[in-house]
Amino acid sequence: MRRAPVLVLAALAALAAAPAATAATSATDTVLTTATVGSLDITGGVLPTASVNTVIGSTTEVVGGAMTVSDTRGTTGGWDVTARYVNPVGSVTLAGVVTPVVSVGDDNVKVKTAETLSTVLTGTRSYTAGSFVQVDDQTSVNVAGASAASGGGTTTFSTAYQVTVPTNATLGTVYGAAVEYTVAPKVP
Amino acid sequence: MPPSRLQRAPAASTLPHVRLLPAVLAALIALPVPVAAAQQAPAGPDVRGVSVLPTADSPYRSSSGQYLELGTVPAGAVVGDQVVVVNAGDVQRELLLFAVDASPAAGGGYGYSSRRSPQAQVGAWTTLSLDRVTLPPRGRASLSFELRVPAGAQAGSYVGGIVAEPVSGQEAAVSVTTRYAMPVVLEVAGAPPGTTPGRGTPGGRLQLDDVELQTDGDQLCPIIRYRNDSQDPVDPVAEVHVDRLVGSDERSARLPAGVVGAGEARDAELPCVRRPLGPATVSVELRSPRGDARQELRTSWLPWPFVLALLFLVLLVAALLLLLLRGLRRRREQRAVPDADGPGHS
Repeated sequence: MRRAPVLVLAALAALAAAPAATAATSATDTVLTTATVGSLDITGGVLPTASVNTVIGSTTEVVGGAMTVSDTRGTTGGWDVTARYVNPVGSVTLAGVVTPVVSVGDDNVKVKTAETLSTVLTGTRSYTAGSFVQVDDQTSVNVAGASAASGGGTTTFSTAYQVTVPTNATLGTVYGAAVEYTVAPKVP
Repeated sequence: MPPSRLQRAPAASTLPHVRLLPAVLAALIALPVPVAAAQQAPAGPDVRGVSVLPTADSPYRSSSGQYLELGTVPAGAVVGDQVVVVNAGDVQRELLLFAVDASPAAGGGYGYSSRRSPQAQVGAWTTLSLDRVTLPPRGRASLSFELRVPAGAQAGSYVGGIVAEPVSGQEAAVSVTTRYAMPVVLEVAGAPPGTTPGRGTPGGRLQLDDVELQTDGDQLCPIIRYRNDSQDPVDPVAEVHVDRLVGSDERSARLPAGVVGAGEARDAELPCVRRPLGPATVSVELRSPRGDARQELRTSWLPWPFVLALLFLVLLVAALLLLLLRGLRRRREQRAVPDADGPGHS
C-alpha cells in the first residue's frame, strides 16, 4: 500500500525582518511630532496560521480575521485594497529543526474578495465575503474598494484564502504561501 | 463532466495518512507565535495603520492630496520631492519603505508589486532617502525621493508607488502582510494617449499563442499559453470542444483560465476531455471582454488494444469467409458427385 505524503502547509508572511534591497541608507528615524492629518490606512488581516494537510490535491481554506481600512481624509478620493501572491521565504522551525519552506506556487492560492458594502459613510461598515479568485505574483486582484463618495470612515471586511496542496507535493516537505494586501488611494 | 487534473487527486478518506498526523501536529505546536497576532485588527474603529502622503506644499500633490502626479517628465530627467510617512495608530511601528511598479489589478484599481519582485519602471527609477523608519504612536516622518527616468525610457504613462510596510520582527510563520502604497503617476512624453509601456496596447486583444495536447491514458489534457495584449487584466473563460469521427462530440465545462495582467502571458492547464478514438478535431476557445481567441488541432489516436482488436476482427472475418467458402465448395462437390455417378452406374 502506498503511503500518503504528509504535508505541512505553513502560511508565511512576507519576509518582514529582512532588510530592504534598495540603495537607500538604512536608518531609524524616531519622530516625536504628532500626526494630525487625516489619513488612509489599513490594519489587520488574515490571522497567522499553520495547518496540517495530508492529502495531495486537497484544499485548505485559511479563514481570516477582520481587515480594517480607516479613511479619515475628509475629502476622500476613494481607495482600493488589492491582494497579490508572494513566494514564501526562509524556513520554519519544526520541533527544533530548521526546515526550508517550499512555495506552493501561485496556481494553488486563491483569495476571497469582499463584496456588498453594507452601510453608511462613517462608522464601521462591513463587507460580506465574496468569491475566491486566483492570485499570482504578477497581477493583483481587487478584494475591496470604495468610490470617492463612499470610502470615508472605517470599513471592515473579512479576509480568507485557499491553499491547495500541489499535485506534485512530496513526503515531509514543508510548503508555504504568503499574500500581500495593499491599500492605496484610487488613481483616476 | 470529465475530471480536471486537479480533480484527479485521491479522496482524503482513501489515504492512509492518520498514523503520521500526530508527529506533524507536534511539530507545528513548536512554531513560534507570530508577531502579527499582536497586530491583528481588534474590533472597533480606533485601530489605525500607516500611510504615505505628499507634503502639503508639494508641487506634485494630486488634487485629492493623496498621491503624487509628476506630470510629463522627459526621458533622462530627474524629479525629486519630500513625502510624509504617518503612523496613525496607537502603537509604535517600524516600517520598511520602498518604491515599486504598479499595474492594473483584476477587478479595478492598481496592484503594487512585491518588495522582493524585480522592479522595471517606477520602482527601479526611484530611490528613497530612508528604507526603514520607526514611528511612535501618532508619529510622522519626512523622507525625500528621487525619480530618475532613464534616457532610453519608452514614452507613455507610468504608475508606481511608494510603499510603507510594517516590520513583523520575527521569522515565525504568519500568513499575511498588509501595507500602504502611495501612487506615483507620471507621463514620459511622445506616446499616444493611454499607452502604458510594457503593459499591452490601447487597442490590444486577448491572444491564444499555443495549444499543446498532453495525453494521460484515455484523457486528453490541453495546456494553453495565452497573452493579454490589452491594457486591462482579463480573466478569460476557456472551453474545449472535441469533434469526433467515431462517437459523439464532447464539450468541456466553461472554466476560468486564470487572470492575466495587461501585456502579460500565462500558461494554463484546461480540464481534460476523453481522448477521441481515431481522427478528431480538438478546439480550444477563450472568451473575454477583450476579445475571443480560438485554435484547432487535429488528432488521431489508435491505441494498440484497439488495433489488435481490429486485427483480430479482420482475421475472424477472414476465417469465417474461408469457412463459408469451404462449405460452399464442399456442398457443390457433394452435388456434383451424384451427377458424375449418373444413371448408368446404378
